[in-house]
Amino acid sequence: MANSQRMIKNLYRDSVSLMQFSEKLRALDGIQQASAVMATENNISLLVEAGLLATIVPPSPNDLLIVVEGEDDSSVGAALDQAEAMLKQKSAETGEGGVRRVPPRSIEMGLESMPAANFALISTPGEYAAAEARKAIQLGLNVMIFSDSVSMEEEIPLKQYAREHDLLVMGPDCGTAIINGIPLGFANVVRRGDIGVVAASGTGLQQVTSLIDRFGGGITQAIGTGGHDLKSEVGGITMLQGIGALTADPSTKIILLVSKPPSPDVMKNVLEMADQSGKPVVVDFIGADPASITSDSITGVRTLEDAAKASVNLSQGKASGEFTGNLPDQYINVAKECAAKLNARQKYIRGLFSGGTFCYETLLLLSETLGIIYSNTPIKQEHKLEDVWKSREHTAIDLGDDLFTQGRPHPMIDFRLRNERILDEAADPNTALILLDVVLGYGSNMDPAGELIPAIQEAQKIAAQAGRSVVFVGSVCGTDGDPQNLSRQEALLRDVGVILTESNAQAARLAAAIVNGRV
Amino acid sequence: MQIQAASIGEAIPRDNFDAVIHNVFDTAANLCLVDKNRLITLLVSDQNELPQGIRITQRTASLQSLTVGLVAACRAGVLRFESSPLTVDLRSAPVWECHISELNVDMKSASSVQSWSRVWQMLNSRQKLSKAEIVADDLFQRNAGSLLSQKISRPVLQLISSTGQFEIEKSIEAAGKMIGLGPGVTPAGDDLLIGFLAGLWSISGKFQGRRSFIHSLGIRLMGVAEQTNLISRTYLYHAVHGQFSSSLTNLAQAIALGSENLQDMADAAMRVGHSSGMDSVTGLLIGLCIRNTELSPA
Repeated sequence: MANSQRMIKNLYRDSVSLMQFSEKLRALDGIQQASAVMATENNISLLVEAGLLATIVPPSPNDLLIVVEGEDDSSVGAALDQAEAMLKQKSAETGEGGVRRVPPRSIEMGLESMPAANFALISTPGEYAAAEARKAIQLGLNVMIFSDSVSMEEEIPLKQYAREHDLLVMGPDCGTAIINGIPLGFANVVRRGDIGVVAASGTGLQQVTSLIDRFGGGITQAIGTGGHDLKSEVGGITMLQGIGALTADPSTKIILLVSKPPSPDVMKNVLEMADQSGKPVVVDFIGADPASITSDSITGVRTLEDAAKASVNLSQGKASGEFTGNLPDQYINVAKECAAKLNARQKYIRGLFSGGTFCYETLLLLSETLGIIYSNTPIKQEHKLEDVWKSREHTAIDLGDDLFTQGRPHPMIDFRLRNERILDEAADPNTALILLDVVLGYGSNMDPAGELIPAIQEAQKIAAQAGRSVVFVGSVCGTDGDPQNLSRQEALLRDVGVILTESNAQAARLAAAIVNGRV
Repeated sequence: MQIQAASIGEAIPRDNFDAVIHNVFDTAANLCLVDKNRLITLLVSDQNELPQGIRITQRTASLQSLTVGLVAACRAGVLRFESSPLTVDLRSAPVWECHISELNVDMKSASSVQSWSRVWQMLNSRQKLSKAEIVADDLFQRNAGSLLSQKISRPVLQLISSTGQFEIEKSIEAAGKMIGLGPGVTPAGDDLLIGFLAGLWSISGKFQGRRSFIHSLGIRLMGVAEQTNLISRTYLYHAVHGQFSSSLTNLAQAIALGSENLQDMADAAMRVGHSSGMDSVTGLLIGLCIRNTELSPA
């Protein structure tokens, strides 16, 4: 007869389990007795008294003591091994205790783990976002609300409350910001410098900051306001606070404002505050007449590219510059060569955009030279596509529109919808040119060129089989510091014949020049 | 998955707290409060309350996503767990309080004596039927029953005697021989002691002598309680403060009032665990019978 014991650390089983466990051990070959009890002093003494334990072992009340008596040492050893394996198998959860910090799962917990934080990014389903934002503000944090589907009824009191407490609410639906050099949401890795940006448009902000980087400038802060901010009801609260913050910031030498044209009352307040900032201000109210904005201290511009260029010029101590809106010289021959490849039926541009502001800017620029441009988000409602899944004449589609993103990721991430549409457009004998935007940066697809190229090649094949060639024109919004790397993405797209320009505006103008067959 | 707590026990902290998941059973998980060395229990039950319990209902919850050793944190009344989708909202949960010390059970009243006798019979029948290691009757007979029964019998008798005499040292000596003794995650000796304290609190009424004795006994008992595991120690901690499970409290109340639902209450109390419930009821019934030599209402 032999007996032995084993201690299993910090293991708790309910009484029924322990009873069943002991019975299983007793049923093993060569085992006569088995017991599993908490290793308390009294239990150890009881086991000794019962003859199951040869000697007193040190008590350890939080551990489980297994004692086995059997025919020989080998059966007892095997039984104990099996016992331990059974317990550990059932107890994958057994841990060694110790206190670790729980990963923050509320704003309050996050603040507790980082008491110096002064900023919270809210990205929840829209119905919860306002409540979470209010919690953050009440904890003394500035807020970026990435979530959309937050109503203006919720937005207005939130922004008013934050303003009363000298805090900033970026958003709702603020997809992009760069604060103290940290890209937030969909944002690019941009050189730091002396240009401060406040923008009501996500991709607009990405375009101007990326172009500032491309043109050799850098930014201090890029503040997003959300799309509703400059409506009369909201009153441009965030835009005005942003201008105030950049005015007070000694690192910011130039202020750049980007938005669709605000409500007239809001525009007046914004321009007044910009004028009073004492700093040169560049303003692109996309679609507004620059002349109506320009003053001694304010440079009004027509495009995002011009906004970036003017800001960099001012930052470098130059004049803001003259912006003619003409196609740059280097594209004139390109346009002629492309136009020569088109047959008589190939008349139309098909713009397929992932960035809403890129689509909007394109609609404005194309309509200046080509007239009516149909869209799911047209400038004039009468030019809205009846069937958004089918283009007609000149068409520019914002694939980031809610209509296309329900139940699927944003087209900056998921290219399937755009790729399908590229093939559809290529199959249309009236398509002359497919115009694209490609957005790099955090949050976007890690290899947009890799996603697009198979569709572009397939589209070229479809057109070639029909005896045509389709022109691809586009621009890549991003920087070499972005995870996708601007130069690499551009090189890959050029390799398959995509004609790339520096900016969205240039791409639109080049496209117009190609289908017009003139420059 | 955020679920609403059905109730919380009076010993659950009302402020923010941090805890480590100590152990997870099918219907209960114990969380060790950081810096307090005692547990609170997340309990899946449609009715049973614990002073240290956060009760969630059978219909809403599973505890299987909780992992021993990971952390939990309660902030602004919402309890969250590391690496688990489970979140428990405590904010509007009613607070359950144990009022056993206000029962003032009078064991001279005929109805209470009758109720006590019925429960004693039920208890012994059930213990014998389930082949429990401790059978209440055996504790009062020489060398009867299992080795455990025999081993625990002597300290139980000593405890009855010394408690009746308000003798702290002898009571603690007896309790020390019971603590941590027996099978189960809460050893039988601990369950019996917890029940015994429930009995003492039930009859303490306004008798200052009994209350002082329980208070002094409790302080010393917590020193001896180091001999058992943390789960048991937590129950003992609450017991010395007059806080018990609803099942034990309800049974004590049913005995006090001679209630019609005595059998249901007794069943519910005895059903807890494999033998824990029966051991606690054994202790309760013994504790209710303590006769003190000197009683002076405060």
